[in-house]
Amino acid sequence: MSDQSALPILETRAASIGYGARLILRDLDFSIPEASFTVLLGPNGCGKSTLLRALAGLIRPQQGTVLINGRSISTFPRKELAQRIGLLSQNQSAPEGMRVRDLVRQGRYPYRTLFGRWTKEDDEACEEALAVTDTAHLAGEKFDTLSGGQRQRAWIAMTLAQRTSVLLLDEPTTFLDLSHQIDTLRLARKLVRERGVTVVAVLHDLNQAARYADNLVLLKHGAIISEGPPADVLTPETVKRVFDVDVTILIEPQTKAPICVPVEDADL
Amino acid sequence: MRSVLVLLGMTAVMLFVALAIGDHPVALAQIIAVLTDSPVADLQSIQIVRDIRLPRVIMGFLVGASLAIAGMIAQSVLRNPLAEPGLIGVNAGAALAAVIVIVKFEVPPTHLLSWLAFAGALTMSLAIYALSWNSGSSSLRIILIGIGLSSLAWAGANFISAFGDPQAVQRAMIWLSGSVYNSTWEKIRTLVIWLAIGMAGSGLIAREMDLLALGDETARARGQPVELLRAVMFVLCAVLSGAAVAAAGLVAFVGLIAPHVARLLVGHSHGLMLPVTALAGGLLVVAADLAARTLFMPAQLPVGLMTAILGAPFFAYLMWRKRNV
Repeated sequence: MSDQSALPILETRAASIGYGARLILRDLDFSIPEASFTVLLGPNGCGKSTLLRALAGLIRPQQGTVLINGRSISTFPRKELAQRIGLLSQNQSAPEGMRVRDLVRQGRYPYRTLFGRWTKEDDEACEEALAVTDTAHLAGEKFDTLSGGQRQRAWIAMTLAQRTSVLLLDEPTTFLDLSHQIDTLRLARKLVRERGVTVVAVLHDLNQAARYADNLVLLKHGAIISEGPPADVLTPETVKRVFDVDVTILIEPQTKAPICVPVEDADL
Repeated sequence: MRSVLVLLGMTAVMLFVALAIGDHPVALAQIIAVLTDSPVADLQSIQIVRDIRLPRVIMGFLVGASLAIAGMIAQSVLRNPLAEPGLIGVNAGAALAAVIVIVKFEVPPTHLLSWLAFAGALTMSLAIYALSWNSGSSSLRIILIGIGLSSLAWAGANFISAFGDPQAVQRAMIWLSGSVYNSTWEKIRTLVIWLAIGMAGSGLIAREMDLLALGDETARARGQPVELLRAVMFVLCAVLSGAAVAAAGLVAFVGLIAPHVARLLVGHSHGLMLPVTALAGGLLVVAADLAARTLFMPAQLPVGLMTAILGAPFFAYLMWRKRNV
């Protein structure tokens, strides 16, 4: 399904990224093909979120560069970059009493100027984002009355209202029940297929990642261990090396997606 | 929106009541006559209303409005619903400046004193902001350094007071205790200018504050210059509350409660909150001053004391009414 010949939309070149003296990612060269769904996988603290923040331009690499369409992202004014790259971070919190519609409207910030008025285009982007995330019926609700899954979808709607060609999602399925996890992954794939959006997400579930993503990137200790289509990346060796878990790989008959099953001693 | 109209009506009524009641009550007809410059106004009413009560009522309203908006900004920039302008050091800075000027240099409390107190407030809050900078500012660091530096300044003020001439110390304490007793049109003009600047600035960045409320990371990812915005908010808060403190001394509780009243009435949008917060703060101080000067006549209490006495039950009432919402 993946189109490996597609041009990279996001690239890092010899990028070393970290906070102060502490480097999280070293000398990273990697690229994300346009209109693909890429999932970053790895143990806690391996640098997935840091990489996502660097791709969004929130941390500047201490060495090397991050490029979007071949141009260094540090050369973009903030708002222009935010018109191209949208990031949904982990652990969001909205003020109590805020309504979903008001949250989603914040996604239009990169398009607004100090004195600029709210335009029809802003309205359309918000309505569309609400519709796509199935939150239109919640638009008038207060945030603190929503379930965890509804809140997460409202946050995704806010990020979609930004109408960026690149969407970075940091653990978008955390706190969601299975049906909303699947909805979120389907939504990501739909955005890729139907609108040519490039989605990069951090996930924890290897099997969901393998089922929905075009490319997987396995990270450990700030370095890429393996990247490519799920069937190539998920092997007993790579999973053992990255997560220190022994697995057997099964093939799901319908989609041929790999499935990891932990190996247990028979007597346990 | 209905509740905003009620608030507006309450404020209008309160302004008239505050003009009418006092040592010498003035009839409503006479107040209107004085305000409209009508020839039926008698000389005594003109003197009482125009020269004494009107400046005082207006000053009370402006002080309340300034402190209230400063409180809204403080709660937003410090990301803390319990924040009030005092947290960024304006009270301590103004107090230290006032004590130094009055006790050390024996300068009488004049217009110059207001300016020096204003300068003290601004210096203190900017020092707190500068010291809390560590490749970026954080709300918690500002709060901690604010509390630390403010304590230091209060200690300095107390130290000077301990060795000062008792009469001068008393003058300083009276000046600090928060009163709109000596309101003049000149003071009002100064405060109006700062309030206008503060309100215009707050109005301009209202939308920015809405986004910042979602968190630094979310705001940055939408392309917001978060540090610049925080610096602007800090300066606006310092100017608004510093000007209010310079005009009326320390008036407690307004900056804390008025933004909450506004939030309960119109929600979280800073653009809507701004006028309602100002109105609520102004109303509270006018009402508190009226109570302070009439309840124990002829004794006059500091208005700062009454704001807390009046504000706390009202706040409790609002919380109680909203308990099931």
